[in-house]
Amino acid sequence: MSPSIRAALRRPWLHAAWLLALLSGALCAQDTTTLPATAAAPASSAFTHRPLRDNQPPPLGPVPTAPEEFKGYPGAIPFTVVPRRDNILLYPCSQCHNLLPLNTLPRKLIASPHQATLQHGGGRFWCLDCHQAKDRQWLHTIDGDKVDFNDSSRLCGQCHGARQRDWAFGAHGKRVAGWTGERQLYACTHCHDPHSPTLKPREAQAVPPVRAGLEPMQRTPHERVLPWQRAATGKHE
Amino acid sequence: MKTSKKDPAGEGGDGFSRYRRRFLRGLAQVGAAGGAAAAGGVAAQAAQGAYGGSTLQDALGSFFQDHYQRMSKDEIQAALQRIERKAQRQHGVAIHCEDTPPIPGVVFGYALNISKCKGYRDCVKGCIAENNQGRDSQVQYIRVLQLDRGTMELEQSEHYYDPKAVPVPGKFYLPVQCMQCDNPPCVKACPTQATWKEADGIVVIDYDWCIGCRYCMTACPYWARHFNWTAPQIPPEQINPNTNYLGNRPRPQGVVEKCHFCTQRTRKGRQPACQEACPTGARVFGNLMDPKSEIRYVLEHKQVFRLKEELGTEPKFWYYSDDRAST
Repeated sequence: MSPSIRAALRRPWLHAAWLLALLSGALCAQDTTTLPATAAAPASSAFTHRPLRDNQPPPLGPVPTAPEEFKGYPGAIPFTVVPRRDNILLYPCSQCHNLLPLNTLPRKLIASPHQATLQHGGGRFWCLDCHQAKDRQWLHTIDGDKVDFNDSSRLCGQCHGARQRDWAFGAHGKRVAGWTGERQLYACTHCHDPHSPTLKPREAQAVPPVRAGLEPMQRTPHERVLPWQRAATGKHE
Repeated sequence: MKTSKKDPAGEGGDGFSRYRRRFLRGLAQVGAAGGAAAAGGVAAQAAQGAYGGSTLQDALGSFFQDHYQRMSKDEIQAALQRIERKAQRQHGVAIHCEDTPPIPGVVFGYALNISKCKGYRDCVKGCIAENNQGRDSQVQYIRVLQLDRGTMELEQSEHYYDPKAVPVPGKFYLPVQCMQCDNPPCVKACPTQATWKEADGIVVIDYDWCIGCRYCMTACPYWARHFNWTAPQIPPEQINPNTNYLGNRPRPQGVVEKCHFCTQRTRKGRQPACQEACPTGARVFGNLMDPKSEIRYVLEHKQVFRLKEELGTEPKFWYYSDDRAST
C-alpha cells in the first residue's frame, strides 16, 4: 500500500482533497480537449490536405486564346443556307439606329416600327439579348460573337440544340432544290418569325370533292348501334 | 310528285327521280345537238374530230401500241409523240412528254413528320397542279386524314375536315398516298400486268395498258389508287407541260391512277411536288441507298413507323415524329 493512501486512510480530510484534485484535473482535461479544438481544426486540416486545384496536374498545352467556334455537326451533309438578310424589311438597321441614342434599359417598345412585345421566350428576352447594342447590323451569341443575319440559325441553336441538329441532318426544315446535288436549306427565320416563332393556325386548302351525285360520307359511330339493333328499331337509313 | 326539302338525295324515290330528271334532260340536249349537227352539216364532227379526236394514223398507232416494257425505243418515241399531238389537239397545249429511265443505284423513299404536319392540304394542291388531275374530279393522290390525338383508328379518321383554321386542337393529321410498297399487292392483283415496280422502287402504271378493272384498288390496303371516271378537266393554261410517260401525262378516261413519286421530277433530281408545296417541312424525300442522305438519317435516328406494317407490303413511306425532349 502506498504511503499516500496510507496517509489518506489515516487522515480522512485528505480524501476530500484527493477527490477535489481528481475532479478538477478531469474538468481541466475536458476543457483543453473541447474548447481549443473548435478553433484549431481548420488550421490543422489546411496543413494536412491541399485543395483539389493544387493537386491537379499542370495544363498540357498552351491555353487557347480565342473561344472555339461552332462549326456544325460532324457527319452532316455539307449545306448552304438560303440568304435572308436582304429580305428583312427594315434592314440595314443602322439607317435609324445610328441616329438614335443607345438605351440598353430593358423596356417595352412603344413608338417604334418594331413589335411592342416579344412573344419569343414568354417575356424572358429583351432585344439586346440577340441584337448587338453598338452595331445594329449584327446579332450576337451569348458568348458575344458577332453573327450575321444570314447565320441567325447559330443563335437559334444556342437554346434549340436538338432542333438545330435535326435541321443540319435533314430531319427538320426544308431542302430547297432537289433531293440530290448541292444541298441548300431554308434558314430557321424563313418559316419562323424569330420574335414569335410558333406558327399560327390558318385555313386549310379546299376540301376534297366528292363524286358527282354523292355527299361526303357521314361518320356514323357504327360500333355503338349495331346493324341488328338498327334493324330491330324498324327504321331504315 | 312532292319533293322533300330535307334530304333530296338521301331518300330513295325522290333522289332517284332527281337524277332521272337530270339524265333525261341531258339526253334531250344530246338529241337536240345531234339533230342540229345532222341538219347543219358536220359541225359537231369537226369539234370532236374523226377517230376520237385523232388522225387515223394516231388512232391505229394507239390501238396497236404494245405494253410499255415490250416496246422498243422507237416505238416509245412514237408513243410519246402521239401523246403530245393528242394533247395539242384536245387541249391546245404544247406539252413535252418524255420517258425518263430510273437512275441506277437509286431507290426512293419518303418520310413524313406527323409532328410537323398541320393539315393545310398544300401538298394536295401542289400534287393536283403538278400531276394534271381534274380540278373537280375526286381523283386526288394524297389524302390528309384528321385523327384524334392518341388514336390510330383510320376508320374513324376524317377526310373531309373543314374547320376555320387548322390544326384543330386535339387532332393530328396523317397524309396518306401511295406507299410504293416493295411487295406491292396491287401488282399481284393486276390481270394485265399494266402496273409494276420499277428499278427505283416506284410502282408505275401503263395507262394505255390498263383496262380499268379496278382489282388493284381493292388489293391496295392504303386507298392509294383512284379510278378516273372522267378524263381530267383542266383549264388549258393550268396544264403542266412537263410530263412523263409513266408519270403525269394526260390520262385517258377509265384507268386507274395513283401517286408515282413525281417520276417526271424525281428521276431528274428534283423533289416531288408535295415536298415542294409543304409549308412546314414535314416531308423528307431521298435515296434509300445513299447512307449519307437525309432520309437515311431520319430512318436511323427517329422513331419511325409504317402504315399497316403487319400486312407485309413493305411500304417505302415512313412516318416519324419529333422527340419529346427536343424543343
